[in-house]
Amino acid sequence: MDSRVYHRTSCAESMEGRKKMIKPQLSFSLESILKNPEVFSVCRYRIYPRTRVPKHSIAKTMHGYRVKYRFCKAQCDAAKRCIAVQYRGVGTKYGTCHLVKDVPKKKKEGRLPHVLSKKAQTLRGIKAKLYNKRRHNEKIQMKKTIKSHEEKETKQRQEVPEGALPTYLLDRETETRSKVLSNSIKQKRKEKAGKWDVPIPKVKAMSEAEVFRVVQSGKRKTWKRLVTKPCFVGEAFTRKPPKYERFIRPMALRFTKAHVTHPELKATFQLPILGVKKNPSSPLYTSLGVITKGTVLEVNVSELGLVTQGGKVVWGKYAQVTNHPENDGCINAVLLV
Amino acid sequence: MSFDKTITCQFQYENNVDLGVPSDIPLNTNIRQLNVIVNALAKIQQQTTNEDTPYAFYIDEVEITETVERYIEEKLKKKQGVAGSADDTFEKTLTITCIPKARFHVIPVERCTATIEGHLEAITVLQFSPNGKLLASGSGDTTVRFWDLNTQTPFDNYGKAHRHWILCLCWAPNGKIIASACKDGHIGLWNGYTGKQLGTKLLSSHRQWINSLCWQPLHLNGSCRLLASASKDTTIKIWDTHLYKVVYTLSGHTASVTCIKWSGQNLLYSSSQDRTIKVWRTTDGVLCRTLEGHSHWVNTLALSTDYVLRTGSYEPSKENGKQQDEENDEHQLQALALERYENLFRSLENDSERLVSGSDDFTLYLWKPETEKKPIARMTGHQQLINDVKFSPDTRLIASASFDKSIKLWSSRTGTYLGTLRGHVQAVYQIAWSSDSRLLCSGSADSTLKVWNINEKQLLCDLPGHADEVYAIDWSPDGQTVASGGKDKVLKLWKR
Repeated sequence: MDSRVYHRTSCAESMEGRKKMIKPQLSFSLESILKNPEVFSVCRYRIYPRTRVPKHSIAKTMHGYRVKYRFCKAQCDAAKRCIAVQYRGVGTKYGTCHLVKDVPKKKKEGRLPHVLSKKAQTLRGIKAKLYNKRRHNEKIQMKKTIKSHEEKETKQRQEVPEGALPTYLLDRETETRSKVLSNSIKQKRKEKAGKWDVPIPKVKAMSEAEVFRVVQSGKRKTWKRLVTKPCFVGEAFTRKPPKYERFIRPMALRFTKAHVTHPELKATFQLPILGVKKNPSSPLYTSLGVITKGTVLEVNVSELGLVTQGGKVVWGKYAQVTNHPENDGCINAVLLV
Repeated sequence: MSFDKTITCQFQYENNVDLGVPSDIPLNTNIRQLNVIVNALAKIQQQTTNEDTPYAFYIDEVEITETVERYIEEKLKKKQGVAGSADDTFEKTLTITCIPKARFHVIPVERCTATIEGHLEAITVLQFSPNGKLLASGSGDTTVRFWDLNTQTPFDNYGKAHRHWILCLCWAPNGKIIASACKDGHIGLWNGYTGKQLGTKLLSSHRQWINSLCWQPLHLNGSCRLLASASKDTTIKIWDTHLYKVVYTLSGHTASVTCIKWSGQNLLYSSSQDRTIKVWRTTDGVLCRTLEGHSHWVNTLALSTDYVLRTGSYEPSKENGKQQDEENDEHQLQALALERYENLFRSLENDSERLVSGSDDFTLYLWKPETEKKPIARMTGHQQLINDVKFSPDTRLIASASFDKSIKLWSSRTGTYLGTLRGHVQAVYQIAWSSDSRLLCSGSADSTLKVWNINEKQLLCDLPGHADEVYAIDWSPDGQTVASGGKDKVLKLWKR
């Protein structure tokens, strides 16, 4: 008989001299598999025994150990139905198909987890810490890869993207639209906590020496003060007669428009200023219309097309100045929604 | 001033059919009296109706507002400005065109009667069924929901077969089936009464999203079998909904097809982003004609017989406790629909349907697609792209909604500009006519709806209440309710 294929007789051969002969019980299906010429010729399984035995034969079994036949779990090119033998008990090894290469390497890899765990258990001190850290990272990576494999395998319902649009808006870039009041702000107002929060709560106060410059002119040299910071005067502003004016607001420092950013849309619009609501430094500056960092302005937002819940069109909103307009030459503000 | 002055008048219908003989009419006759005269003449001539139809009177396209006298005065004033013209106003026979208006009046909606939540994402489409009893809405959460108008609550069953946003909805003209299309290119069919899906599969053959759906009109086929769908993948497919198969694929466009309309003459009009409108024969899927003229994407189409084709056999003025749909079978419904269509066609259309197309190039074109390749009129005036165009149900007026926050009214016969309706503060997305053509409702990105009085071309009623943009509105064909839905995921019903 061809010794390459296992069958009963070779088992018997290798177990000469044993008192008890273990006769592995072949099932019918296995018998027919044995007769399969492909398996017969191609598969050269090999069992790695405790003792050295000829290549293509079954190793000796220990007395009392059961031998069971199973299908080979290795993925080799031989017919799927090759036979492997499983040992039970001490030192068991799966019988693997000989066509699988690098078997010693595979054996070593099989032993590796045990070796590593032994190492992890016995290391002490700083080495242990470093080693554990490394193992932890590896564990995390392994978990991630397993999860991604699982995700790939499971058939998931496709996530439907947000932001549904009707057909006429599909091919168009939607313009940024500002809502009237965002929910979080409404929530805050309801709770009355931080009801009137502004983006820039604290600002360095401007002293009068910074803002004004003394100007002496005219016969009586009654002193006037010149505003050195940008300011806003209304449309219908006319200067007072020179004898009576105390504060000079030069035309060069008068601004009518502000660059206002909507905080949620992150879009900036150039909006006309309606008035200065409050300058944090002093009420005098508020009445003069001096604009510095932190000033709250009222701006005309009809360009944005905002509508209240009641259907009224919103045309004025507050905005707070965020830059130093005297240094930059322009007024940048953020809208207070 | 002129109590005894009279003028010779000849009354005419729109299609130049004379009504009565030329008669002398005192100059200070006002509209009501004119109405009485014309109704009497009509009764004598035709001996048809017992009810009086209100008429609108036009002389040379100018409407008579109060009395004939006023018109004459204004005309004289104008003539006096032009030197040397002989005054022959009193010598010629004045031709007064009488245009019948709808006999019923739709009461304008004024308040929100129900705010119904239910959808989990923005509502993208809404449509009332042809008899106005059922309402269906599609949304970005991939479901089609049906709403009971009497209790103003949603039905239990709702359409869950789609996997992506619902983009289009279309009721079959018999009011029993509704078709929905999603962004994946699939079409689902649902039973309108119960909300259950017809069949188990979705009709899928398009490769990109579907822009528009259109059923074959009822008077061509009573069983509502054929459905046409236009998609971004530049093809139009005609489906047989009984067999769940594609019958014809019409390809010819080179860019996304934005809108299709199935005309009462068994032709299919399709507009596309490749700036053309193509006319197809639905019997064999052959391209008849290409209408060119626009210089940018063509966004919408509207047919003059839209309203009649949509409502099929349902006649709102006859709706007085008659149980129509359930009792009549297909053929009767088809006959009714055909009768309505023919009436409209003969009396108003001069045997040719009209088509208006709105485009991204800020203009509209008026076409007679069955006969001519050249447009009848080019209607300019908008300052931003035109999103929605609709013919009024009596086919006399065209309303166009644009992203420049205004709605413009045009005469549908000649395309002359009639007026602008301003009031919205952001882009106007959709408009809907009431079935008597006297009121127009518009929904806009500024989250409000506005109801406009067309006679006076003024805002009648402002309907705020939505929290975010309004994407879809519809006026029910029985004139009772307006439904609106939008980005805030809530459906609102408005009634008187």
